[in-house]
Amino acid sequence: MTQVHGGTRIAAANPAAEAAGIVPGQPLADARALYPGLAVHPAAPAEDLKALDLLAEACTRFTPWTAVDPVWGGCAVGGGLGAGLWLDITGCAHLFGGEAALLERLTGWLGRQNISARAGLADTPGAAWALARHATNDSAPFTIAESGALRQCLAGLPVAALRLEASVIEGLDRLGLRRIGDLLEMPRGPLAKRFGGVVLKRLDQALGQADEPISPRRPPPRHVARLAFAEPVGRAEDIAAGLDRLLDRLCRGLEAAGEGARQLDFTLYQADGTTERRTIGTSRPSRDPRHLARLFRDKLDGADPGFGIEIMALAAARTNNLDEKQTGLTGWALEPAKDVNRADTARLVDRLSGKLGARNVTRVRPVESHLPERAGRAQSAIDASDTANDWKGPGRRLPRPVELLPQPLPIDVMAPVPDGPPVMFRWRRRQHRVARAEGPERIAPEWWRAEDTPLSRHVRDYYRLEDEGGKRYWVYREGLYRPDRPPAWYLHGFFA
Amino acid sequence: MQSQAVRAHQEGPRQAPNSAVLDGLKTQIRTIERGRAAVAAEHVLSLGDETLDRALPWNGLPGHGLHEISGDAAATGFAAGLMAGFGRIRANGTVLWCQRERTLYPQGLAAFGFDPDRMILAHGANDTDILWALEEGLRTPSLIGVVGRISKIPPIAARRLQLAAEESGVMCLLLRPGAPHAPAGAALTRWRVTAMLGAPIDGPGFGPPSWRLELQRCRLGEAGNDNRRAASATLGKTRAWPRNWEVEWCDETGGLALAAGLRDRPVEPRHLSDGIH
Repeated sequence: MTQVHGGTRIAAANPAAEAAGIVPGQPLADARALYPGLAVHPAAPAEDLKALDLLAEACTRFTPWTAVDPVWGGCAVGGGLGAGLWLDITGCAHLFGGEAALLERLTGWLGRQNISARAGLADTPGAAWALARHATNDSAPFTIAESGALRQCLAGLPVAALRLEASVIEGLDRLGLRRIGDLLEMPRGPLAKRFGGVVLKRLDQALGQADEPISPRRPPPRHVARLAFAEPVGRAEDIAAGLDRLLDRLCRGLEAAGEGARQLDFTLYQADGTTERRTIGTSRPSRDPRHLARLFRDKLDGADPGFGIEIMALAAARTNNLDEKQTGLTGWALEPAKDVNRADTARLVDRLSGKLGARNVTRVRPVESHLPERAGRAQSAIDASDTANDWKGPGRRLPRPVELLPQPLPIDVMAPVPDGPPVMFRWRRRQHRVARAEGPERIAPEWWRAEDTPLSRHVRDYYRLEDEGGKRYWVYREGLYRPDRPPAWYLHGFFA
Repeated sequence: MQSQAVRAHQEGPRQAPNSAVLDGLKTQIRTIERGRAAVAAEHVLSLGDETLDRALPWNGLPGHGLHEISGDAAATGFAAGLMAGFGRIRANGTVLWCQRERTLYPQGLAAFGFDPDRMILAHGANDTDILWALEEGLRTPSLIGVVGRISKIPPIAARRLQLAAEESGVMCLLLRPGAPHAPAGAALTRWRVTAMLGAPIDGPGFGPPSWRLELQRCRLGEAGNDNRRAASATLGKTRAWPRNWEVEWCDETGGLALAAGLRDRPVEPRHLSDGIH
């Protein structure tokens, strides 16, 4: 049920409810009157969309080009048939032995997962929509409109098949226009005058006279390799072998296009209808199957093949240009030593990022900031290019610790002069007597930055301290001296 | 015939070992090991002071093996200095630094001549990840070296690291926080670096970082180092291990210098080294 126009209405009904005469769009009170024991649940459109999205993802086993038709619920569209999936199977049907065979597999596969599905296949999205919803029934879950016979196919369908609003359908009904065929015979002028452009637009879209672009969920990658198995496979060795074959094919395609992969998606379509996707990224474009296979190896460690894998697909989601390298007689690239070094390092970064996570493998870049915790920014090494930065510039000659605590630790301090260095401090339940101190170095807050944390709002006076054992600490006093309040001290780092 | 041969074979071990044969074998092993040390001679880093270099059989620190450094922030600085030194020997190359904590401060490392641009920092969730990352790094010959901070290391893992480091010629520094209970036995050298009160300087502020450097173990050290033996003979020490030095980081040379001036200091007693020498 859902709230529409101030009343609670039925959003969707299961077959049992429909048998009792309950239809989507009905007020809840009417439905309860028809069947007092009705079980009602609030509609969750967001969850539905998520589930549809997952289903669209799973449907990429038939075509890489899938999209969710997000029109939800029975109220927006006449006839109570709402959301669906778009699958553009251009160029894919032959892989399954023809259009009919593809649709049979599609509906059969969904049926096995307890998803009742209807499919329509036509030259235009509009016609396919109409066929799926109005030319199918339980015994024939899919309909195909032969190319060029769209008009005949559509003529017999009700006008609701044109994705029209309920009010428009009612209006047409009052005029006695119940079938699409009736509309086709009407002159266009009066139709447009009476119902606005919408009826004609839908009609044209269904017949392919108007354009109707549909964006796919994700842009279909240009380099894809796919491997289907007669029997589901599940052993790790089989997966690895399949991956090797796919990589080989994909890399040949990449080479022909003069490109290298920056990101590869390896998708395992499993017998139970779920999909498992593993993604790797590379710091430089690569089409070396051995290197790419190595990156996947760690990723596939925890892969659970479930009931077995039916199809494997490998897609290059992101590619960059990668020029042909001349190779020597030994097969090694004739590259200057520096390039070999960099390629080597890039491969290491790829492997590390693959296993530890790109967030955890970083290079550090200097940032123009006086605040010590901001002066270096960790950048994921997979995206960072090796540039030369100024780490010893005039602003960076001040002594800095080799280890900096991510969060300064509050310490107890004994300082004879309120704004002087401490003579003793307590850290980790131990007294440290200060042998020597250096400072202060005053670091002011950077008020021009918006993302201030509470700790960065005060002036800090930094001191270097050396305790009697020779250990060197970096401590600071927060805020300016105020007679009414003892100052707060923090330990922030350690010098070597 | 057969039974006699068996008996002879069984009796063999009971006899006193032939010392001549054993000595011959020992010499052979020594030659092999020295040979290995000699091969890596061009990858040996001078620590900055002749006394320190002479204490090592390679006449400096070899860049092809596993070295263990225990200690806190001082050890981090020492490791950064060593990596910077090897960075000067091998003009292009990267250092892989692996640890769990996100405490490393690149700007502070730069004070030891270390170039943060040439560092890849890898954070592992546990020691296993770090060991894996270290080994991956050691199999990448274009690296200058790998540094790993790890609290516990199984002997087999240390051995693997040492073998990988020897094979690829990449240096591996293991930083052990505090004093580890189980040192990595496979390491070529084992150091302990502790902070030490620096010499007083004129004017305000501190002097350069000063450490007590302790060479706790050194492979081939017993066998091949005539320099060391001579040194200990002249000093008349009964026990030469571990060896201690008081050193300072020297910015100009990018290496260590013996802190000679420290002896005049009135405050700091030399309690640690006194007990040992």
